[in-house]
Amino acid sequence: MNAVPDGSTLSEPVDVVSQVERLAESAEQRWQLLAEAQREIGLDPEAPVSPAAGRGPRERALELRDHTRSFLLPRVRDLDAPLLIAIVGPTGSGKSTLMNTLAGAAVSTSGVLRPTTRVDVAVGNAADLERAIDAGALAGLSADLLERRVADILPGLVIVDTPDVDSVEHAGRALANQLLEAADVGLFVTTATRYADRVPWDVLERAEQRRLDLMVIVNRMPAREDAKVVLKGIETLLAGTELRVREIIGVPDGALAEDGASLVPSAVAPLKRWLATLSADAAERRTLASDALAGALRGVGPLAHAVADDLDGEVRAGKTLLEFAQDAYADENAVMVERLFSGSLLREEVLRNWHSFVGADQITRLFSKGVGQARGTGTELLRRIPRAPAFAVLQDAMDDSTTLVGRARGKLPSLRRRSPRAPAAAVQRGATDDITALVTNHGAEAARRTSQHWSTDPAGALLLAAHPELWSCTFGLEAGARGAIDVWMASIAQDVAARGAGRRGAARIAALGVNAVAVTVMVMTFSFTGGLSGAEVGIAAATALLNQKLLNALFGEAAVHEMIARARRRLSDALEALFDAEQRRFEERLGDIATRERLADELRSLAA
Amino acid sequence: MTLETVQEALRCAIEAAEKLGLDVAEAQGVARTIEERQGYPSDLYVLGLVGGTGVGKSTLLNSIAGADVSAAGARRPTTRSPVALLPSGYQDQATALLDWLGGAEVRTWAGEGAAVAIVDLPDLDSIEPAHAARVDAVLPKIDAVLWVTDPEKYDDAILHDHYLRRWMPRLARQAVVVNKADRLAPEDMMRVCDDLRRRLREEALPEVPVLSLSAVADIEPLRRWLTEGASVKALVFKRLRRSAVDVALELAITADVRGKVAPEPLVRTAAQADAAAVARDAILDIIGPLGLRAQSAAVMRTEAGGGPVHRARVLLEGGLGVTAKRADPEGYLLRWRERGSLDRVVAPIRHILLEAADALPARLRPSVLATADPAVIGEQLAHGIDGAVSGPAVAGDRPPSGPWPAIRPLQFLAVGSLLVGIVWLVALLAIGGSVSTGTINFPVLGPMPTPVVLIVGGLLGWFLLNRLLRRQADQLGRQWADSILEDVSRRVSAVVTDVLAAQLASVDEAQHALWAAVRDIEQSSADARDADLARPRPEH
Repeated sequence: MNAVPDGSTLSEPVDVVSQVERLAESAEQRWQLLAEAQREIGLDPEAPVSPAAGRGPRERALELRDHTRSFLLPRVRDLDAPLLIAIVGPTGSGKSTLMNTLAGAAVSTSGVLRPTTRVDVAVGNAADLERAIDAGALAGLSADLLERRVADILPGLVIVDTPDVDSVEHAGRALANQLLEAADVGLFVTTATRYADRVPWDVLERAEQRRLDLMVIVNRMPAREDAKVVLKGIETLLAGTELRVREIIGVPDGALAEDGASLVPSAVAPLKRWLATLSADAAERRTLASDALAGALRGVGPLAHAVADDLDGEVRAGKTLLEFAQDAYADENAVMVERLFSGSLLREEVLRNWHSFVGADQITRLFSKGVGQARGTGTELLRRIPRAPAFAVLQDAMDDSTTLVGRARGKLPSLRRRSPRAPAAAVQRGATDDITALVTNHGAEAARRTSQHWSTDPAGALLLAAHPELWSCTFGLEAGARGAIDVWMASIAQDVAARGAGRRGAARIAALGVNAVAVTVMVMTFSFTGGLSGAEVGIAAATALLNQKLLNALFGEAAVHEMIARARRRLSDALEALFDAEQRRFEERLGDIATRERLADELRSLAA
Repeated sequence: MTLETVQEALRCAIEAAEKLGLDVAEAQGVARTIEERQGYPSDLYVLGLVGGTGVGKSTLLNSIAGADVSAAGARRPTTRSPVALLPSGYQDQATALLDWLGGAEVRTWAGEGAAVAIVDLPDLDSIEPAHAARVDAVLPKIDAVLWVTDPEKYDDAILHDHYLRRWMPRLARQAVVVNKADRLAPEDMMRVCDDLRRRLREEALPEVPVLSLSAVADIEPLRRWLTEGASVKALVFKRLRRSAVDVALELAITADVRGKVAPEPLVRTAAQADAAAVARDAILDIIGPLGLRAQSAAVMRTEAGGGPVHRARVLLEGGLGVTAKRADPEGYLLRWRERGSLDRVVAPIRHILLEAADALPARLRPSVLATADPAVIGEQLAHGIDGAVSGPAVAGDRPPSGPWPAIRPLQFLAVGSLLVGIVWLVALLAIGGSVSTGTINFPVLGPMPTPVVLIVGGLLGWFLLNRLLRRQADQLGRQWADSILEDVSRRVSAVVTDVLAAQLASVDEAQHALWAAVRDIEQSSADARDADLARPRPEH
């Protein structure tokens, strides 16, 4: 690697190399981000688009990547690498004919059918070509898009003929663009009828930005007066730009050599002479290369800024979309949690099952006084404690807890007898169904609201079109909710067991079965509203009241309050985590916003 | 088929597409153009020369006119005022038509008997954006186009991507002129024209004449083309119809309803029925079969308990002013909202809407799913359920009981015997021996005193009869509740189906309307035997 020598326009050579390396890295990252975003909406980032479409963020990202990778980096590392001369121009303007003239042989196919050249054709001596392709300006080109023609002319120079910038074959523009980023000198070929076409001037806009040295060759010049008009017209158009034009060369119409594939040499004599000088004089080449590099380094700033602006735009758009998602999910989560503990979550049908258990005399004796207690005790002598309609899923957790309490009391066998394994029952299924329906409904609604918002935004609409599943919650949400409820129920059971151990109520808990008590707590989590009184009618209120009395008798009022509060917190935390996971689906579609922000900053600081 | 019918069908298509949330601006523009064009003479058609800068449009116009009517020059892009070439005798009628096209300097032309106004348009590919804008503004309005290009430019992306692909399908009369034949060898010119034809075929564009000529030397092929052809009226008509067909097809493709077969309903009937069944069961769960049974059983018990004790209690309560709580199945049904939320009901409906949206093209999804708000669906359902549980026939007929009339006297008998036994016993204890004590002989127990027998018998009878009545009342109550539930279930089913249908109907209808309108328009071109309209269309 050669450092930029002293006396060049660059004052801190080593620093420049590392800066350009960083720039190249940022440019590559930027392109990867964009490519990823394109793939996200089902587009192929590499697919060529119509030359008539103009430049957008994609083109700018490509330009910056190609320019830093194929020009700045090789050139800043090695000023003596062969000069790359690119022939660009519209279809039918005579690029290949010019190439053949300069090479002195028919190296590139010319002809009347458009487009004639579909790949880049590079001419140079073997060593120069190898140097350019292996480590230099042409390294970024894929091999099947580059034809090599070894010819021992003009050492130190590599001339490349590019496909048309404006033909229906869209790939041509992409290839020409790529080469234009790598070139040290551009040969812009046009014709007397073509010179005001829009597409080639769009291409030149980029040459202007990157401060490329340019020779303009105007083919098929009409005779005399008209020629002056044409030259004047071209000069006027060029004067309106900041293009670095070395010379405008008019080639008269019909100045074709006998083979028909090249021009008569005299038609482009000034160009040939200049190239010969460059080829012969290494110092001249070096001066030109360092001038080109200095110009390019100044010219890369605006492009880097433009790319940074693109990134900013993406960040803004992404943040807006993200905000939609966050708001929708936060809203729905809040409404869901509110409804969860509003006291009317569980269907009355579910509570009815529970009521017949918790309202049985054998149970009510635990918190009744006087006659009620006596009656309950009496009944208990005749019948054993009713089977609680509790949770099959939790059986393992329950067994553990029962064992825990049982050991504490040393009464395991009798407990087993008195509290038989609870069957899967309507309460568990019903409660889980109700909670799950609530969660999936709100989860789906959050997704739908987000998507509805997104569909009004162009970028969001594209993402949605490629990912229609975003319109609803995932299938995993329901399973996740059921799983979370199971885990939550188990945690309640453990809570009950832990509280029961070593307390006066342990015996009672053991008598009822930890599972039954856990269900009591669960039911209460959803129906406890603080200020219930017996005056309220209905199964829901009655069940809540009985539940509360039973739990107060078992644990004491303060402990019950605390237990309920904890259970609620745990459940809403678990559900919030589920919602977060759902929301992340949207976030992931938006790509990496933070990296974009960082890249934009980096590009700006490097450009400065 | 007349143009009015085509216009009407296009209007329907636009309306339907709008309901589906599609962008109809372009279709509306076409509809407007069709409308407006009919206000101008149709015995003269307008032919536009369209092409890139420097291909020789002006030179061509001059050659046609046989005089310098348009300044041709070497400067690019050429700047000049638009020129219209009119056959003599048509000036008066054509002025308004040309004004509609944006105005032009009128030159007359001896013509070859063709009733055609030829206008040269600015270039479509130069750095001057106003030129292309003018071309874009005029192209929808002109009746025929002469696409002008040359061997340099015939493969230009702008020409193909922005113009030929878009406009060729909509034109009824057009040709491509490859100018500057004088600059190439004839066989090269042939190859260029063949290459252009191949490219047009590749792009699935209609077969059009490709005329190779030199505007400075020989425009004979063009002259021939200008004079041949059908009547002007038919040409104008055909062009308008074609733009209608094309723009309508565009809408149909976006809405995914193109084809010979009518679009399927968004959701299969079976899937809809399944979802409705799930939703109905969830609603019935909320309404609460267990609770309803308990309520109706309670009512039946009260009915059954019309015996002496019940009457006494009612009298007592009346005297004390106490209002007892009464079972009330109707009220219980009406209060369904207190017993659960509609979340489980909304889920299957939401699910089926999503399924429907999934089958649609991305652009239609928002319009289907905009209505899938669970709160809105829930509101509609709740309203429907209210209606379903409050109808006059709900809880109408209580099932009659056969044995009650027979049991009731027995109840009185049992209570009577109990009372008599008690009075007798009291009298015995109070008055003593003067009251006779009969005895009844029982097989194992031997003789028992009659009052005791009366009391024991009365108690036993009362208890047994009560048991019997209760059982029967419970059974009747269950029957009654089940018949109520059956009735409610049927109504709720209808509610769910209605709500589902309401969600999907508007989209289904709009899709169908769009399909039918497009079919009508396409039919119109089939009638006219426009074979090339059946061409396959490339996906955009």
